[in-house]
This record gives sequence, C-alpha cells and structure tokens, in this order.
Amino acid sequence: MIKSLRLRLLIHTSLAVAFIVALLGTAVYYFTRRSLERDFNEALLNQARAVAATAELHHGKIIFDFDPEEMPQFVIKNHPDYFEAWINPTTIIRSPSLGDRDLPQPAAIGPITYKDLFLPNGAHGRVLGMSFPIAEEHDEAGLFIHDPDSQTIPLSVASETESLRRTLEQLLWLLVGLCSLAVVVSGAALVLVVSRAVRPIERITRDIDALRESNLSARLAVPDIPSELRPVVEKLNGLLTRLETAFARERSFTADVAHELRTPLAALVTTFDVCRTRQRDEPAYIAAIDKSRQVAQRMQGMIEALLMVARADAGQLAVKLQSVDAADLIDDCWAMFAYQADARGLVVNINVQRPALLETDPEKVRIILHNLFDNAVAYANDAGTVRISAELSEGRFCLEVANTGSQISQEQVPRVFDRFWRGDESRVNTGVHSGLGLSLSQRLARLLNGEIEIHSAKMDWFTARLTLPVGMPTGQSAMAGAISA
Amino acid sequence: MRLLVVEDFQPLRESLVQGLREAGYAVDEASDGQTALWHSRSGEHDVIILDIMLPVVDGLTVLRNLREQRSPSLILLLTAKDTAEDKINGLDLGADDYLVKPFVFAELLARIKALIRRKYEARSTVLHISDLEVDTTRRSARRGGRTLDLSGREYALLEYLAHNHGKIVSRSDIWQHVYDFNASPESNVVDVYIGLLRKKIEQPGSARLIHTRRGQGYFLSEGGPA
Repeated sequence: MIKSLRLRLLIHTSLAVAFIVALLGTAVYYFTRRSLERDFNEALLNQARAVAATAELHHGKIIFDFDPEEMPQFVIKNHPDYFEAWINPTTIIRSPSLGDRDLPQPAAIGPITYKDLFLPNGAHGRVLGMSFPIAEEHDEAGLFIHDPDSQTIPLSVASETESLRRTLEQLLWLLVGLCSLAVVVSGAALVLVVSRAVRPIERITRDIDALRESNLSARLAVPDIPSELRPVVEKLNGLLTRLETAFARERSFTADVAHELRTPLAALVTTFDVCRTRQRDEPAYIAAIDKSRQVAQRMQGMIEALLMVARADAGQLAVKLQSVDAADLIDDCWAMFAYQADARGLVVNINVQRPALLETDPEKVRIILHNLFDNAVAYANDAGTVRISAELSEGRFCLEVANTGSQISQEQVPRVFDRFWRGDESRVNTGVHSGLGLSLSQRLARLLNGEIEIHSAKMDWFTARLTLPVGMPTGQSAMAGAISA
Repeated sequence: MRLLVVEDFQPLRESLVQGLREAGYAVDEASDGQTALWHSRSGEHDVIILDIMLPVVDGLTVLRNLREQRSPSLILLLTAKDTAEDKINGLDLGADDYLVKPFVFAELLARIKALIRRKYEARSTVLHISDLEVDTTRRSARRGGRTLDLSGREYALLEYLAHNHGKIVSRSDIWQHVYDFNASPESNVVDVYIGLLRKKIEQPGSARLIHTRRGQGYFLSEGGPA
C-alpha cells in the first residue's frame, strides 16, 4: 500500500494513460500497416497482370512479348522488381533482374498468394504467386476468350518491401515515441496538478503546526482552499473556536482561583507579620490564631468547592441514587441556620409539603440546600424575612428559598452563577462567602437532572427556585407516601 | 501621617489596620469603593492603600475619581492581580505604587514610608532641621547627638512637622494627619501633644524649634516660617 496520495495518483494515472495510448497506438499501427500492405499488394498484382498481359499463345507456342523499355523496373540494377513464369515446371521466362536465379514457383491452380522472402539482391521482398490462363485467340474486341483447353501458367512477381518496412518501422517508432511522450507529459501534468492541489494541505499543515495553546485565536485561512478541503478546514476552525473558548474559560478560572486564594493568603501572612512585630499578651496571640484559622478554613472550603465544581465540569462527579424524603433533608440542613437566622432577627416562614420522596443523591442535595440557606440567611436585610417552601408537583420536586433585601437586580441575575461573583455589594466580604456557592449548586442540580432558577429585584425578594425530578421511587415508598399524604 | 486602607476582605483589613496603627500611623478604613471615596474626599490621607476588586465601586474607579479630583494623596494599589497589564493599567491610571498580594508586611511599611518621603519631597530617609535629626526609617529622632525618647504619637507628630518644616500647619492639619478619627476629638489634644513634644526636644539652653503662630498653628523651623 503506497502511502503517498501523490505517488499513488501518479502511478495509477500513468498506467491508465499508458494503456489507453498503447491501445490507440497499436490500432493506428495495424490499420496503417494493413492499408499500406493492401496498396503494396495491389501494386504487385498490377505488375503481375502487366507481365501476364505480355504472354500470348502463338500457334501453340507461348510467347512473352516482354519489352524491357516498357517495363524497365524488371531490368534496372538498383532495387529491381522480379518475375518468373513456368510451364510444367520449366521456366519459360524470368525477368532480366533475376539473372539465372529463381523465384518460388506457385501452384498451377489456386488463389493468388503473397509470401515474404529475401530477394536475390538480399533485400526484403514479397512475392506474388498466381497462375493465369492463356488463350490462343482474341475476339474482335481483343479480349481473351475463355478456352477450356487453354493452359494456365504459374507466374511469380516479386518486389522489394524495404520501403514499406522502413515506413512501418518509422511509424512504429513514432507511435512508441508519442505514446511514451504522452505518458511522461500526462505524468508531469499530474504531478504538477497534484502538487498544486496538495499545497493548501501543506499550508494547512504548517498552520496547524504553528498553533499553540497560547495562540488559539489564530484561524486557518479559507479563501483559496480547494472545495474538497473546505469542510475539513471549517470543522478545524470550529474546533479551534471551541478550544479557544474552553482555554479562555480555564485561564480566567485559574486567574480567578489565584486571585481568590491570594487575598486570604495575604490576610494570613499579614496577620502573622503584624502579630510578630512586637511582644503581645496571650489573648492577642489567641485572637490572631483564631483569625488565621478562620481564614484557613475559608480557603479549605473554597478549594473543596472549587474541586467539586471542577469535577462536576469534568463529569467526574458520581451520582449515588437513594430514596430520601426531601422534607427531612430540608429540616436537617435548616437546623444549622436556624440559630443564625434567629440571631439576625429574621422572620422565617417554612412551608414544606411532606413527605417529598425523591430518588436522588442526598449528599448533593444537602450541599445545594446548605448553599441556598446560607445565602438567604446571610444576605437577608436586618429583621428581614426568609421564606422556604417545598412541594411535589407534576412529578417534580420544587423548592423555593427566598429572602428580602436583595442587592441583586434582575439584570445581574445571569451573573450569580459565575464562579467567584459576589452580588452583595453593600456588604462586607467577611470571608465566609467565596462566591462559589450558587455556581456549584447549579452544577450539582444539573447533575441530578434538576435546575436552579433565580429571580431577584433590588431591595426586594431574592428567590432561588430548585427543581429536581422525583426520579423512580420504588412502588412501596410511593404507596407509603400516598397513604400518609 | 494618615493612611486610608481600602480592602473588602475583613480579616486582611483588620490586620493591616492593626499593623499600620502599631507602626504609628493614623489609619482610616473602608471596605468598599464608595466608603473609600467618602473618606478620601477630604484629601487628608498621605497614602491610600487601595484594593482593586472592591464592592459597589471598584478600586480603579476610585483611583480615577481621586486623580480627577486632583487629590494630593499618594495611592498604593494592593491587589491580587499580578499580571504586567494590571500593573501597567494601575500605574497609568495614576497609582503611585503597586504591591501584589500576598506580601510581606515590612515591605508594605517600607513602601508607605517611601511614598511619604516622596510626598514631602524628601530624598533622604533622615530629615535635618538645624541640629534635629528625624530618621523616618527607624522612626526615631535625635537632637545634638542625643536620642530623644518619643512615644509613637509624639514621633508621628514630629515627623509630620519635620516633613512640613518651615511651613505653618494648622491644628486641624495635625489632627487629620496624625490622629485617628476614633480618638476623642478634643480641641486641645493637639496643643497638649505639642507641649509634650516641646518638652522633649527643647532642653534648657537649646534653640526653640517648634514655634506657635497664634490663630494659625505651628511650624518647625530654626527661625521664622519660610
């Protein structure tokens, strides 16, 4: 198997061209040769007839009225023609050119024969063998009258075929030359065309080779690409666009991570540096240690959330399905925030339909609930309201967590799912909220075939609405749910 | 010298403010760009330590605003953004210095001192007024070869006077540049500190250096105000 497209095309096309040209050449050669030989034979036959016409029967004796002046071709020294005639089987006449040599004697009866031979002068020649009748009388018109008693005389006439052979040989070489030339020229043209055709491929190859992950904005040039290659180039460009977007996202993500980790790191380093500037009393050291620990904890939480986001993005987060009552999950998670809500003087309305049996991954749901509750309690205005409601409807579990005092306008809503975006502009960054909560929650919700939608109006309600599929509850638990409901 | 720390990450801001106060600076703090602008409007801060990623109004907008208002404060950007573009952008917008988080606190202090020297056009880290030497690096003062035993507040007052030597500084200038807002704003606190400082630097027999211009303020000079 030849790998090079160019070589393969060249070989196959050259073979095809050679075959066709050889076929044509052979045909031309044979038709020309047949035509030339027919003309030659015709001429030889005319010679023979001319010789035969000189014979006549005169008083029972055959006389050839051969006049060398009239037919000098049988006399001349250079390239003469020859003839010989016999009567049973004695030669009665031979052309002066023959001297005392013989031509092959044809059969007395039979068709005209042609035979190639070497002539007495050593040249290639052809001899015509025939026999002709001879009559005694002519009629009034001078034509032979067929006489059944008439004799037939075998006659051989020979002529040189050197000229014919030479012509044919020249024709043969001419054709061979032309055919070879045709093959070479077509091969060269093919190489040229193919080279031109593959030039864009070579250019694309160079372009692709020059692509670096640092320069993904480059695109392969489309204009003079052959139409056959265009789809490939377009697909490659499409791939590049997707890669560029993905790389840009990763780069900005890495930059965000670096940025988000640098600030708490700076806090740690500064706290240590400042603490060490002088001798301090024990409570001051304890305060510095506690503060550092809190910052470190935040960093840990952030890194874990980041890892989970990254795993969710990479599809590496396994879903462990389990039958759970979402109402219980809500109770469990809310217990962690009830105290904080109370301490902030928030009014809390909880309206959860129970049971709310789901076939889902409770750990993932727990993280989502934790984030939603955390946001609601942290971002509600002082003495504001937090409202939690959940119900099963149309085969979907639907949870709404809302708080008053939203700082996020409706236009900003799409950004709340961006990693590291903190919408709460008026509040101090206490280091508790990394800006990853909603981003992670949305990914987890989607992992569970669910969705989180946000509605918000500035200084009004901020509502996060989580919908999850009920999934495939076992028959028994569905029954139990129906009965207790 | 009065500083303004603008940083939204509470643990970092707390440590910065504590460290800078302990280093003898009067420090105001802000956790977002709007508060920072409100604080800095007076222009009394010698150096503003400014984060870029801030809530409400971002640091670069604060910077642009201050430069448009021709604020005399020097601005040090203290940020986690570490690319050359970020630095160029920040400096081109009129920042006077740029420090990337995380940083060594001592470096921040050194940069703040350098900025203050620049603000008061002092090439040397040691200011000389007659036989008084104020070493801004060591935060100590000597007179006639004798080291003066000054408290942090007294040193800050002396350094402020020394940076402005030959110029009259009002009580409110001193109040604004040397004292925290959370210190009790009693009108005679400045006079009390000036009195204490005088006692320490003006021994019997030495020339008077801190002069009082009634109704206007004080000035530090061998002779009269320039």
